[in-house]
Amino acid sequence: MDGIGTARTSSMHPTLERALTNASSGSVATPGQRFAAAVAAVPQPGPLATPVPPRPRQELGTDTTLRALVERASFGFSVGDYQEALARGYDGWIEWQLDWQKVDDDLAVQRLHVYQALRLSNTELLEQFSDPLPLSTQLSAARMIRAMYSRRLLYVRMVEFWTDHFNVYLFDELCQWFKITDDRDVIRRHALGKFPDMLRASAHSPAMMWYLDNYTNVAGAVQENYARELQELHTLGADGPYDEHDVTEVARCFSGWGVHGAQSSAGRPGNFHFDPALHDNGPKVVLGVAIPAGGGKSDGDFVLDLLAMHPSTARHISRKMARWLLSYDPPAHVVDDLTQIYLSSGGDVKDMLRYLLRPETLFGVPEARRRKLKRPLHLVVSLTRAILLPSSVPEMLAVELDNLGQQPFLRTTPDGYPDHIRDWGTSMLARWTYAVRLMSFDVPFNRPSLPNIHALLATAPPGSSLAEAIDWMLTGGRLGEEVRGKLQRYLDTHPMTDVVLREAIALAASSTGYQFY
Amino acid sequence: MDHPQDHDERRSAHGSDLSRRQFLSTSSLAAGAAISAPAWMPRVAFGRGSGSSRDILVHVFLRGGMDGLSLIPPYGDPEYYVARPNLAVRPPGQADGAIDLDGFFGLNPNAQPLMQAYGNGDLAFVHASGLPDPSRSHFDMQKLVEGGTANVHPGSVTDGWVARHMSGHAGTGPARGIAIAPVLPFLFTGIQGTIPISKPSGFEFPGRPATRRARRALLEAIYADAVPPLGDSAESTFEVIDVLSNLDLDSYTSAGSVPYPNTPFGNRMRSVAGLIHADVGAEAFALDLGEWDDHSAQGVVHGRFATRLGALSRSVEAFYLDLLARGYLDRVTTVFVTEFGRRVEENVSNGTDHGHGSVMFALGGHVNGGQVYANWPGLAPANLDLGDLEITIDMRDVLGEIALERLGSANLDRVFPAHTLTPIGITS
Repeated sequence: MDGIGTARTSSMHPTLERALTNASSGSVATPGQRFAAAVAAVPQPGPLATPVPPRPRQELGTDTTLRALVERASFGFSVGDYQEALARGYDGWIEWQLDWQKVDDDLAVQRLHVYQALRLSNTELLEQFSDPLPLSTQLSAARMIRAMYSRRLLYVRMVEFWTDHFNVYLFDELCQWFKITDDRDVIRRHALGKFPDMLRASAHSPAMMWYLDNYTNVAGAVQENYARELQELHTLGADGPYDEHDVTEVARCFSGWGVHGAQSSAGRPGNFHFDPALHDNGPKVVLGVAIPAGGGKSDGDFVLDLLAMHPSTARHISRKMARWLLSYDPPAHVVDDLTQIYLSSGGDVKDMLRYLLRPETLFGVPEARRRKLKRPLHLVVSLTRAILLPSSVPEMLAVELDNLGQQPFLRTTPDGYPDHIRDWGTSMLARWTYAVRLMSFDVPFNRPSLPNIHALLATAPPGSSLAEAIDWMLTGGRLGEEVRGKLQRYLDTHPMTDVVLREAIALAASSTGYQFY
Repeated sequence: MDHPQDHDERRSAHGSDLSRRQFLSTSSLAAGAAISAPAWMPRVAFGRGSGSSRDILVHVFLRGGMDGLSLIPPYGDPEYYVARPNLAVRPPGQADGAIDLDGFFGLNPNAQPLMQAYGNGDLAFVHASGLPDPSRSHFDMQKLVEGGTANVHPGSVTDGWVARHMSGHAGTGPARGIAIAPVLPFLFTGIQGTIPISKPSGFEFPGRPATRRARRALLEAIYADAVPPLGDSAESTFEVIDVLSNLDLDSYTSAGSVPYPNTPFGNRMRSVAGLIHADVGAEAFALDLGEWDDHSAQGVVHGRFATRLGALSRSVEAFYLDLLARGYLDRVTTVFVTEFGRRVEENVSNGTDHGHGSVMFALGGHVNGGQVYANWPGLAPANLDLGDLEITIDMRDVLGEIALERLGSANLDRVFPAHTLTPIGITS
């Protein structure tokens, strides 16, 4: 594209300049189409490791409490995950999941090994990859592999939450390189850590600096994009106690924060960089707090500390997390309690999760009994997990997500993908189509394994009908009598073949009950 | 999307659809003539000239905050060139200069394809317009614009203005509002029978034809009493599948002299025209063209904004000439809105930050076009609203006039609550 501003590139590091030229090659296709084309060009691997179906454990009945816990805290029910929870007990399972680094994750780790680029620094990425599309496919594949195969269920669900909270649009120019370190060093590193640490990491992330244009925010000519979203989306919330003046003042505090190489051709390009020469060193007032002149980079650091432990931030994050795990309308007392936990624990995500997932909250709050609608990624992954899909090209499922409106990392606006039934509850056909495509072997390189499915169905409680066994495999048996009856009639009135079995699974996955969690 | 083997199956399953099917086969895209209204078709689609007629509304949201000063440069205001030393469009007559519109306002040269509609009096611009809410947040303002209200907490707004407009009269088509999008826009939230369709030509019930009827019947039964909005949207989905399965939207082409650009937005506009032509009965269509958030490297005459504007303009030109050639221009009103304009003063990144007033525009046979409506506030620093173009025409006055005069709105006080309509005379 010929529109790259001359002022911006005139003093830019040549590596960044080259990347910027390659970043926007003027394609008229949608990001989804660009991405699909890139995926299609990737060499297709042979069979790869996939999970092994659990053995029947018929002595174990259905514990609806544990089933609900696993469903809320993960990408959906699967027989193996549920059996793991039965073995560990309610509190034991939560603590096991919270100590996520100790959760044995061999399968995902083994599958992730080939994505070498995801270990590089921004400088290395820029130097080694002039074409960023292979990076995008690796990042997307890794996201899908973790969602589909990781046993760190709660961690992966929170990674999804924070990815939206600190949204960066992957195809925004150099974010095609920088989002890789942002995903690794900001989101995944701190997903179950302390929110203030994640906030600080995000503010120092070249991806965020680029996406929200702060690398052009300089003394005398403030660029307020990051400063505004920092307060509106990342911390205080849209109803927070800040005004347009605070936006400008915060922007001044962050002047000179940017990306090495973007403003000068010296140094190793692509890392975070603070340039004192570009910083507005005058006095500032943020949220009524005076910041004396001459602070340099500490101005921004001070603002991050101020925002991170501000009561409005605590409330904003608490409300959003309660919405994520509990209910679209979490009751005030839950938000109040969480806000207190946030403030007293220094924004400890684990402490907040313990409160949200304890039985008194998960089952004691009437609002939490109303189920939430799975977002498209959640729907897609819950089905692959439930049937133990052996995927050889997981990023193909990200392409399926394009039809559903939720490709990973491709939300263009900084608010992240929404999380409400009104946003996702009106496009049923795309959901049914996904289930049918997957079960009809129409998703390339993602062919469901019939032996896996047969083994999973065999773990259903003794005496189960086939419809009941399908319900067991997909939800642990909560789709309801009516749906099971209709499914069984469908099975009874069609010749029993694998084709019809797969159709019945797709129907169960298309039912209303399966859309919720 | 023709599946002959399915037709028999569905005819027996949905015998009452016979009239719909017969109608669609006679009015199929190639024929375009002999139209007989089936029972489900709202009168409005044929009500041209009658007292009860309602235009079809096409609502295009330019998301991201479109820079009105770069679309319609006020070249007669010297302050424009002071505030935008690097980003201004030069006056008419200069290299890459604006196309003169009225001696004061010009048109970005990349929007040249809009000039035929403008010259024919079918396209009107409204400058220094917008929603007079102080917020500069994309998300607040997009919601409020679609909600048709201002100066309230965005979280308290529960439905879109087009949904409220539709609630004022009965609807009879399978889908009253169709969004060419993967998810439903807030504009349509709050009323039954609005549906997102990301790709109209592929909107069919999936899976093996041999079992399609039985599988569909199963899902229809399960979704019959699903919680909102799933039940309603499933019902609309099945009805729209029936309608679209008889259309071949992929082969729809413009009847005008300019083809639709083969771009995502060009294809969305082509789909809307195809659905209008097929008389699917929708009262409103919604579609987006995003990425107008030009904080850096805006490229007003050459570059990103220019490329985007050129693509938009070519699609709109194709749509206009298509509707004109087919004789639909007099019963389709198309509006183009954005959530806010950009800051008057350009920023250091050769871009512009979030602002306030911008430009909206309307296209149609009953649009009093060929002019720029404006109560120009001026761009001198003292005349700005926090550094931004002041809003002197409330977008609700433009949309409200269109709702009243062209959409036959019966409940305007609910459509735009707490707002008294002051028409600007944009409809004829």
